[in-house]
Amino acid sequence: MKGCVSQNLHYAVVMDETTRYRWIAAHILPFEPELRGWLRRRLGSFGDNDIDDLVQEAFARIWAADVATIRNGRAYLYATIRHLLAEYARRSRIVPIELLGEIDSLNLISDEPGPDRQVGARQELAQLRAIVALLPRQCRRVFELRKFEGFSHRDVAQHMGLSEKTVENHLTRALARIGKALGAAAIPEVSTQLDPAARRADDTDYGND
Amino acid sequence: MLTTQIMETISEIAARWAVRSNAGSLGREDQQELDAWLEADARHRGAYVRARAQWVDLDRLAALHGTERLPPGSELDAAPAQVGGNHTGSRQPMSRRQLLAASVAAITVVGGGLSWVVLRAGRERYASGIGEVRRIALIDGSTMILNTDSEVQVHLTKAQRDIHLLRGEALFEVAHDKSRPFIVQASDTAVRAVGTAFAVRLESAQVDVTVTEGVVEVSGRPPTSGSGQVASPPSGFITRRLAANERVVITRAAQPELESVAVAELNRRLAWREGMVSFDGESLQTAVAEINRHNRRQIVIDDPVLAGRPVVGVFRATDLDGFSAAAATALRARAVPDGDVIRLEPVATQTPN
Repeated sequence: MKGCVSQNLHYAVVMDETTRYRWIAAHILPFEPELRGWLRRRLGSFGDNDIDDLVQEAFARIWAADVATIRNGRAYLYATIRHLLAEYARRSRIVPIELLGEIDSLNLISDEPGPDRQVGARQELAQLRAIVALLPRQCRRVFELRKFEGFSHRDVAQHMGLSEKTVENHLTRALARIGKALGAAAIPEVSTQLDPAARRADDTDYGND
Repeated sequence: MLTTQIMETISEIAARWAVRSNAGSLGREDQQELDAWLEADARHRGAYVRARAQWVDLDRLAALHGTERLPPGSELDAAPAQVGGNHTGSRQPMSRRQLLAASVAAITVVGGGLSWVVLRAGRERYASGIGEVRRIALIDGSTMILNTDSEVQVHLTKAQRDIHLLRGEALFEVAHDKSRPFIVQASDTAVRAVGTAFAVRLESAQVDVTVTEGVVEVSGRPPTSGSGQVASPPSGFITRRLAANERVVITRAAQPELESVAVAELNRRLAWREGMVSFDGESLQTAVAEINRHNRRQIVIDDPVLAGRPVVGVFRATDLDGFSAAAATALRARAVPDGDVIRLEPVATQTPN
């Protein structure tokens, strides 16, 4: 059977992908809000779209890396951003030169244990509930059945009397909104640590605290 | 602004592909379309990876939701209970996971030994420390990945590639070489492969073999009779052939039985390759034992009811604090640091069960 053959051939690849998504979920995603907040504050010339570009390119780079060898996801994320910004600078997009030095400092900080996602699991769950509560009603029910109740995609469609395509549309909308909201949320502890706005002009020393 | 629209579109397209990929395997046309889209722009790939990871991450949060047991009437509980209707009884989020746990946590104790393995000098030894995952390239082109606190001895000759798993767990990706079989010995069990990938885990009384690619042959001692005598002569080793996605646990207690393992479950079991541990309904006790393997500091649970509660989630293997905090949050417990250990204890005297 065609299906069997291809499954065997691609098996190793498939296996790798799932673990890598999981790895990225655990080691990179937790630091996205912090990173976005930092970029927004530091890069006045960057709009949200530029930040989206940057973050997406960073995820693509990290995907291409051998994540098994990465010890500190946060440090790696910042290093990746630094490379990308250096490339942007070479392509003469406007990147303040101090920024690169600042990211070096951030790498130092990120070698320390960062704010841990697991610690805030309850807040995260509360946050997710708040986002889900704002979804349109049917979209919300579809999402809850699929994710919270463990229904399969097909089961949701059957159970709610919807086409699988409609279920897909609802889940797409839910994931896009949730992903955006979770990625953008600020983490208070980090912003106080990294965001002394007063240091904007003169901020080469990070090690004094 | 136009750019805004484009950005929205990338994230949304990525979300759609992530959802579709998770609904089942993509058809050929879909796959081609997705591949083309991913190739078109680095941002596409990045947005897609991000969306897939977020989807995975939602499972973690959903699992917390499932184990947290909100007081009745709280808003999220209410909605699924209504839509669930007569279905709900058989559809509780934990039921599938508990089932899984039952199928996973079955094996128990007898003494194993190193009887037929003679250790010789002149072999190379590799070990990983606690909390370390080590990838080692062997000279024949094979790779082995050592899980935490593991040790192997490698002896490559012209006729044979002998690996002896002395402690812990290792995954082997074997370079194809018909003339030199690749044999991993762990306690009384030998796993023989030509070109394939498989994991072997040695515990005090059992050897666990899981195949991810190709076919291997597993030989182990037959179960002992009640008096401790070997039921059949030592030469009569039981041999089983294992194909990809199959697993066997060899103990002295029972006839080995092959078990086929779903791809997702297999990935979960091998999450340690990426420095992660993953639980899907195992008891807190089992989860703690696993995470303790990876850490010098240890988590201790005295309360048997708490110890029996199911745990779901993916954790960094060395993140003892993160794990105990998450478990505490999910299971209404408290993580109390106490010298070199972290104690997990129940918070309130609610009705046990």
